[in-house]
Amino acid sequence: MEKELNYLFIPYEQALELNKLGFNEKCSFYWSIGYEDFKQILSSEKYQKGNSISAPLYQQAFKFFTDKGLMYCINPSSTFGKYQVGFLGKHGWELIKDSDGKNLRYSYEEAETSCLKKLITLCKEQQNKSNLDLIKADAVSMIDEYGKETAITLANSYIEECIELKGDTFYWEQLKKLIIEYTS
Amino acid sequence: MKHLFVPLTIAKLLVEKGFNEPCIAFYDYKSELTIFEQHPETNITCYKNSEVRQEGNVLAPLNQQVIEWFAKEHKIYICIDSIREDYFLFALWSFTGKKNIHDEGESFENYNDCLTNAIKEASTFI
Repeated sequence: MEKELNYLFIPYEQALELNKLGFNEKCSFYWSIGYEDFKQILSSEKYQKGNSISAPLYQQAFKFFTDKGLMYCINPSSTFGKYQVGFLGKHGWELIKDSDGKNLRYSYEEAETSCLKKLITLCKEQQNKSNLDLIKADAVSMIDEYGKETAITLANSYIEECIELKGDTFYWEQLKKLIIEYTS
Repeated sequence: MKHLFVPLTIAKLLVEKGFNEPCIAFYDYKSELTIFEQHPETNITCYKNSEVRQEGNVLAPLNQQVIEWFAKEHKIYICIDSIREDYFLFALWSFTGKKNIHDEGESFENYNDCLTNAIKEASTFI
């Protein structure tokens, strides 16, 4: 019986990243968190414990990104048996290049992994951008509702509260910055 | 999770074409898809077509396995392109001749239909 099918699944590190990005598809396999070095990394749902994350297949991971509008391609290059990886950006398809601007060529497995890593980066950028868009809308709304001074005072008080509770101040810091920017 | 695996018709076609990679699921005699039970003590449980003994059972390859099988075993690369979530095209590339053996033509509304047609077309070259 053949048992080595691990290559079908995205690596542990990327599985953690996908989990953070909101991947929530049904999987048949799971990683036990912190046990990525062990051979018995994959277990069935039946044996799943609380401290685990889903182990997506490459095809599941890629679909997760295309559903978010991140289009990619893994195409054969002119070099025999090698592949290039590209992404659909504002200016059309853009291939992954090296520091000299030459298109990078990979084996199929390398292409899959490189493509996945790049998609994770693009998805994070997309999320940050959409978070920033939301904060911008909130800033405008607060200025309209309270006026500049009160809005800044409110933002400051929430920043202090976050610090006191050891929470993340990013949202309120950004909001305050935007209120000042929009009203100056 | 059925969408992750090739349909039964394609699974049967692949058996005819010599596909014998280890699979984690199979179609039974009722055409129902079943994923093999896994055991954490071992590694992933899977079987090859040559190991399937029960008549009527056909192993169910994952879509990604089939794409890799064509590339590695037959030097044919199935390329699925999409610019929208409801618009898919396929092209076939032969590594042996370094040429495009099927250019993008008909479009499909979903990935799986596109891949199914791509596999059927690719199978005609082996």
